[in-house]
Amino acid sequence: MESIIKKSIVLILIVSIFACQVDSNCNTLNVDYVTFNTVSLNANAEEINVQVIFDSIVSPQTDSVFFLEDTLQNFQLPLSPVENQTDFFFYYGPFIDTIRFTYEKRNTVDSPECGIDMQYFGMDTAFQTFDSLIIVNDTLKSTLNAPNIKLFIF
Amino acid sequence: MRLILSCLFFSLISFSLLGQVPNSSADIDSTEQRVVEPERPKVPKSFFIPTGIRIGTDLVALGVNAFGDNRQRYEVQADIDFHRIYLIGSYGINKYQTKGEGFEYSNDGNYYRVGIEADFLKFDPDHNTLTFGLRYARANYSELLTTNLVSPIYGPYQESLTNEAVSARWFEMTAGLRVMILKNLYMGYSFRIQLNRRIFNANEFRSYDIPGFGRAEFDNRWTFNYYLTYRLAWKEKKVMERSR
Repeated sequence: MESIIKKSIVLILIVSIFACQVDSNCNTLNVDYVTFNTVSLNANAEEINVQVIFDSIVSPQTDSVFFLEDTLQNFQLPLSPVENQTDFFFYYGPFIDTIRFTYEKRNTVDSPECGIDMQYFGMDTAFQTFDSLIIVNDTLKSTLNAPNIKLFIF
Repeated sequence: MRLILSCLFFSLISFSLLGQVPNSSADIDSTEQRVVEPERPKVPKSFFIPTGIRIGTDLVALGVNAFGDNRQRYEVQADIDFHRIYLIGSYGINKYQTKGEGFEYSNDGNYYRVGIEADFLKFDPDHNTLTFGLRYARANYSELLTTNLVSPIYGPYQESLTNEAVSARWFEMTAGLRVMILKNLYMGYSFRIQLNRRIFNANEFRSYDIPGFGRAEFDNRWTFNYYLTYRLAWKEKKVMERSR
């Protein structure tokens, strides 16, 4: 009998260690911006990074201008938390290209102190006018090494 | 810090439980140095007929209701004896609300637990119990989240999100002690390790608080209840006599 109790206590002790989890500390991996990488293809049809001079990048959903006369290769654009889609207009040289992103949002109450954490996932393009575009990751996370979007510029 | 405190706390309880363990009745034969187990007395079948039901409430919940602002929880628990095995169940109702910068959250629901407990106090005439047990638990609830936030780029926005008919289930390992303080009136604690939590139908936003479980972000956690129970006996409960 005594051995059964001892074994039970040891079992509960081991399980309780797994049951002990640390409190949230307001850190989050979720981000609200899409990361872009601009690429082109060389003569061997291999991807190469290219820099593009954008006159401006704007969204009709805000008065903010995200970039103005910038040379970009890796850059970030914020999605709107107000809606489930965000449009971006890219002005460069004589071109104007457009992307309309659609996505899902999921709210999480982190804590009364930390507030709301929002996750963006299931990102897709409802409309886009670039030569080519690949969605590498459809979930916005700060831990992703690869960009969310590869933009092909020819 | 929570990890250290919880492990220290559980270690204290464990040592106190070990202190309750009755001495082994095994004798050592000094000439042959062998442990000689005494013959175990057979438990009569009549001992397995239930003798009463203990009904009680969780005093921790009442304390939180009285001194806290955010939660209203009421829980009743009942157990019925089959010799040293107890069939045990509890039912609770829970309302919880909280708010922070830019949001308000509330939930409303109920929960139940069912399981068995084994009593390790074999010879106690007052039917005090030192138990280890297992439970299956389930909660049904709805929750509401309203946000009023401002994006520095896209401006202010409000959302009102409802998770209707959410359910959650988990398992529990329990250790508990009940001591008779007056005739048929018992007090004691249950220490619970809650494991393998699953949530269903939280479609609008990620569930935050589960009735009977607590913060939904944890898959496993521990909790503590202190019960006041009354035993309604319809038959005298017999205990095994200690062998001489």
